[in-house]
Amino acid sequence: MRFRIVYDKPGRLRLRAGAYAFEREYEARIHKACLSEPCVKSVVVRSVNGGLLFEYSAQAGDFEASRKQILDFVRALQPKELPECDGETEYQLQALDDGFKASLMGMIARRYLSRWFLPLPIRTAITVVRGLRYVARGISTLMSGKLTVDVLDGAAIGASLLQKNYESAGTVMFLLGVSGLLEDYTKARTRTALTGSLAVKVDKVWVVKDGVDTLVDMKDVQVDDLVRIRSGSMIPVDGRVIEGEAFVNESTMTGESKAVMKTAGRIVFAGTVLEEGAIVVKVHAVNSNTKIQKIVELIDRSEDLKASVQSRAEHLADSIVPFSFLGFGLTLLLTQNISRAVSILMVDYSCAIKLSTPISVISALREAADMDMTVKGGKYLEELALADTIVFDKTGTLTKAEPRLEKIIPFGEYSEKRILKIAACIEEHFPHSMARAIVKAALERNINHAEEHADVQYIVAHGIATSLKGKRVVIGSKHFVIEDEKVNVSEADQAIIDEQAGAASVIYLGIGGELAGAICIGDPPREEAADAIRGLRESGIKNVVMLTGDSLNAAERVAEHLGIDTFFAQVLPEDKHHYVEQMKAEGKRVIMVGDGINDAPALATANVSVAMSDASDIARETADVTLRRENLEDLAELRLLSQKLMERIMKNYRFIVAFNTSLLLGGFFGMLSPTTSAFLHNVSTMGICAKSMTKLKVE
Amino acid sequence: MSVFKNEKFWLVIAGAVGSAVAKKVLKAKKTRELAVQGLAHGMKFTADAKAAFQDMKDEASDICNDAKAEAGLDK
Repeated sequence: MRFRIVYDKPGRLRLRAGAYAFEREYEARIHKACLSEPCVKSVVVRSVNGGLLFEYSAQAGDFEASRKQILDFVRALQPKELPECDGETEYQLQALDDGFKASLMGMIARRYLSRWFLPLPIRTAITVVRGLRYVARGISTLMSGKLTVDVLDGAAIGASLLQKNYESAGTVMFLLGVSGLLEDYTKARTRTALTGSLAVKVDKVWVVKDGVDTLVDMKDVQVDDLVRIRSGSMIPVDGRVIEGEAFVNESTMTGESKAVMKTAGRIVFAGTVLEEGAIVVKVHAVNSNTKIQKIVELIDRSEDLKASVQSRAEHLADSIVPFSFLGFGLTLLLTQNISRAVSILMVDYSCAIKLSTPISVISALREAADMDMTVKGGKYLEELALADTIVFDKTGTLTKAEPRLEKIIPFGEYSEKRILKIAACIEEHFPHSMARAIVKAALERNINHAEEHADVQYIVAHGIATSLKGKRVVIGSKHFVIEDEKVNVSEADQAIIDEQAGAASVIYLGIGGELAGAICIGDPPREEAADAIRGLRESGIKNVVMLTGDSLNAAERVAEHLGIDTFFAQVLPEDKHHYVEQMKAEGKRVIMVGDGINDAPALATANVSVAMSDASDIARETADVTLRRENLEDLAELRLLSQKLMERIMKNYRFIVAFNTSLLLGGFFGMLSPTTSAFLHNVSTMGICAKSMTKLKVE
Repeated sequence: MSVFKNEKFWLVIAGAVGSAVAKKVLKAKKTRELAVQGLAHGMKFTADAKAAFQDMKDEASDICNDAKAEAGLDK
């Protein structure tokens, strides 16, 4: 690439290749290529003037060597030969920002340049034609039986045109145009930022056909094709692993940054990254049918999930319109002055409320996304701000769901080793976290557990039953083993268990109707849980509730440790949502935080639900908010963000009412002309919109 | 023939002739070429203006960087 050096100081070098050196689409590729040079700390690429700004470090204390390296690299650079790359979102956002600035400047330039270059009659004709479009839209809205802001805009502009007050009509249209541009820009920016981070950008993949690997365009990949994926690649399809094994980073899906081992038979998702190894995947879904694409679509639709405060604002904006017309009529009647009456039409509360509220909500959603939290819509932020009760599922939410075997209490003729052997042998069939703890403990103690039992029967969320040498073996919760399976446990044995178990959860093992042993499994609370709960209380949450299937003893200890005032122990999974329903019936506004499959009904019942990053797929799909970092303190931050959002909306509302009322009074008493009223009204509207786009800055 | 002395009559005729000529001119190949060239010039002008504006921004940023370095504010 040919270029000129326009700035050259040690550590900073600016090159310029000119306006037509490369297109905007190459910016990201050039950026990535330049960063591959070891001495380059940062680079800014601008296609507008072909500019490249390098910040670089000295190699072995020599800036000159680094400078020469960069210059040689750029000389040899052929933008069109660079491969496409991901991370183009930043440049897309830059393009959006540039487009917005250009459109805004264009609008301002058109408005002011036309005054100098266009003769008055032509300017007037343009204003009339543009004004008539607003009038036509207003009439069409009115004809469809609605009295909305469009009608008010049409009436205000139409009245100005009739009065031959073209300047005033022009100002109103200009400012309405700017407000519209601002709204479109905010929406487009939010969408791009959210979807860009999730989109799958793979062009070519290796397809295995008759044992031969062929490089194929992504668009030609069909369902049931076999695709080979190697280390460092993004998995481009949803599918099942047929061959090989690999560590896959599924953080785009789950938020969990630790890579997961994928072997034959396991499912992999598009958008996740293969960190190490190689696998062949049988394609289940491509492109628009992949799960990641569904998430992107969901986010794309998220603006439909309007906060009720947003819907209320729009409703309020429209409902004020008749009063504006009433004010117009009354002013005309009382003052007999059409100019003063038109001033009333020029000012309305609705425009500013209708614009600033969605902008506030959208920018808060963007801020939440920056903080690694996915909120599915504005209404959930509103519910988060209004909630007074938070309900936590214990395992996996307040704890890390990494249970560890703490103690085995044997009874009767059974030894600790024998109990662990039987338990591991049965539990290894089920991928439950408690089961994994038992199997892992057996492995650590080198206990081999060859299959001795018959087929196992899994009773969802209760326990497992099977038979061993003719005796019925049951393992599971106290409720299941003692109440459902009628295993005999003496009061003395129960006292021993209660005393020794402490905060641990107890799994009972019954053989032939008698208690053989109790396995104590501890699951320590997350380190940040207590601080998070304190933060939530400080933000005004009155009731912190914990639901758990664990024993009363275990629940009590955890609740005490975390400062939780209400807890319900030994809750059956199907009953969790009853508790939430009951709290709602008592008039509480409930946030439910959960992670498991069995939490899904409770999550759906709550006013707003939150899933942890490592939650099950169904919990994440049901939940309104997903925390992408494994940190409960994010919840307190999100609550603060939502409260600040509501504060901002109310503050905006108060300002809009106060400011516009003063404008109305000014118009009524003839202190403000329609043009001044319109100007002040629209400038204040734009100002409040611009303010609503700023970050809420949650510490 | 008083109609030929009527000024409005000639205005109508002039208007009709003018429209016919304007239609021909607008549809002419040369007019199209001129319009395309004009548009291309306009687009080039816009691109050059944007480039010039970006150059100015870049240079301002470099001056600002130098000033910071002089004041000892750089990293």
